[in-house]
Amino acid sequence: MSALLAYNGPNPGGLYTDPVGHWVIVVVAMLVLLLVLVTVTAYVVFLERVLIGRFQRRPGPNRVGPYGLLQSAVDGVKLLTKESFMPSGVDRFTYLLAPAIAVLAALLTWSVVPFGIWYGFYNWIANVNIGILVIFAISAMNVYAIMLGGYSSNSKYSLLGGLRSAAQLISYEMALGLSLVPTFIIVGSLRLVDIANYAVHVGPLQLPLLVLTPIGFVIYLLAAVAETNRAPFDLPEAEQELVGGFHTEYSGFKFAMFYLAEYMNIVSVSAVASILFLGGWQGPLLPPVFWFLLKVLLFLFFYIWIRSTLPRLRYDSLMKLGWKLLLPLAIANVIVTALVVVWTG
Amino acid sequence: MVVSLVAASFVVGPSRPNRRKLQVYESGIVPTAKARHKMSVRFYLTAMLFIIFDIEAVFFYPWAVILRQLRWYGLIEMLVFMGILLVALAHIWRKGGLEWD
Amino acid sequence: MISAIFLAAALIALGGAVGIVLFRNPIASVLSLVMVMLALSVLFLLLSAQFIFAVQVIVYAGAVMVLFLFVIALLGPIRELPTRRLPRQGFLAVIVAGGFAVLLVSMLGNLRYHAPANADLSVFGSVQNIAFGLFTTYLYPFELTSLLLLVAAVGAIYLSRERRS
Repeated sequence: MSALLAYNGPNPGGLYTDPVGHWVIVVVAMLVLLLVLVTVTAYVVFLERVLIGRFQRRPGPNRVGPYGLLQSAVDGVKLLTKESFMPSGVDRFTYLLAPAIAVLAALLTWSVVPFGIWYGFYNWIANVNIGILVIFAISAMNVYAIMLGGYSSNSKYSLLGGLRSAAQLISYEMALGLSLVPTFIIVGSLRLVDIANYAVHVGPLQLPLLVLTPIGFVIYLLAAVAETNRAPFDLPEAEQELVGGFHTEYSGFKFAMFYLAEYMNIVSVSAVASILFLGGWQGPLLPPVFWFLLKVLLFLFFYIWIRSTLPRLRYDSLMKLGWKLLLPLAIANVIVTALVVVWTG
Repeated sequence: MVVSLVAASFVVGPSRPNRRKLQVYESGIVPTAKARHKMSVRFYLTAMLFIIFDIEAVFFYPWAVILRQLRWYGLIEMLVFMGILLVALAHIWRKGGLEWD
Repeated sequence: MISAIFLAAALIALGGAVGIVLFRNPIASVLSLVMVMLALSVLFLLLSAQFIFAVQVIVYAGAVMVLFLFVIALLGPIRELPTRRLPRQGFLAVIVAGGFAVLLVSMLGNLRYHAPANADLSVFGSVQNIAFGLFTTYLYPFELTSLLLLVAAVGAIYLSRERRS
């Protein structure tokens, strides 16, 4: 346990090594992080609505507060005060459990995502030896949220949407996992902080890891879009054929929880992508937290951009893409990278 | 926190259930037949293949971390492992296990 | 602190195990099994086996249990019916359970638990440490795993083909 929560940053007054102080720090950090995360997520929703509005040549939300900035807060309150009923025939316990798992998994991911706040100060809650594996493990729990949500709702659309979505998630989870193996080979560590700190030296330049792992990067981006159920891979909630997919029968705040979890996951995969491929908070001149936010925003913009640009895939082409293209490509990528690394030493 | 969110939505929100509303949604048509019917065997096959390649991936992670120390020895032993699994993938592919239509 | 976590995880694991058997709803049984898996992963964590912890969650809770859920969806909503019992089932159950208990006690009774000598717990369960063991000392079991997976792949294909026709 102590190894899991090992902290190797600045340690003013022995606060971090003090058994009680350590837990106080962890709890406070978690609460602050929770607040920041929920706020950020709300603004990602807002950002998406504004950007999609712009892409479609309309203003997007601009009524509530200055420039519509309070839109998300108002929406949250609205969803909270909506009637939250349970349809008949649902499996009560699992029906309520599903959105809870979704939010819990989305939040827990952040307990191991490090991010730089200021020079030499990062590493909030846990700097784990196997950081990225913990993220995989937690995101694997998302399958349960979707499967259980679909199964317990007692609706055909939900069940089919849930099964489809679960099959999609597990198919792309493999491509996602394998796409990162070259990165691990090059860095020689699964610790996220090590990966973020790894810089490629070309002459006087320090380049991010991306220059050595471009194929892995592309596979990761595609698989991550599929993992978060986003367009053009948003088959599970294809409203034209499946109404709302696994959350068809969810209303009020229970629906909001699925929604919140989805956007929180988008922020997480963007953050992880920036750590794995763009060096996270590394950057010249400006403070780390700025670079980190900038890189995360870049990925978020990319997500929203492709959502409003690309049409949805058909389910069989989606599975074909995952199994017949991304999986073999990811394995080939591992073999080639391993060969090069061993060859050059 | 998560529990309190669900609870809050029940407390704060109004509750005016009626029979129509509680019915499951089927595009406005009264639901027919039971929702939980048998599903395609495809999903089973996908899950089974997922387990196989997930285990492969899990072996890759520790290997990737120490490949720089193991060098050719590590590379060859993983190529053997991977070769056998590629045979499995090729077999599944040829037998149409990856088709979804 | 450690022993409190151990106790909680162990109780959850045992409760889940009982739940698997007692629940009539197959989904509830699977969820109990997931609880067992997650509780076991916490136990691994307490033993400083971080990598095994992650693998336990990824493979068992994340993959194998999902397969179980898919199979239940595949079979449809057949609630477990009170099927006909074997003749003298209670009697047989007691004999088998008793035999198993005797076997367990005779095997584990003389074990002496101790922490491995001169083990540095900060690296003991790390990926690097596991990897060196796996890819040097235990190389053959590792390679054999691939054959096992090959057999599983072939088996899955033939099972699902037979159902379709």
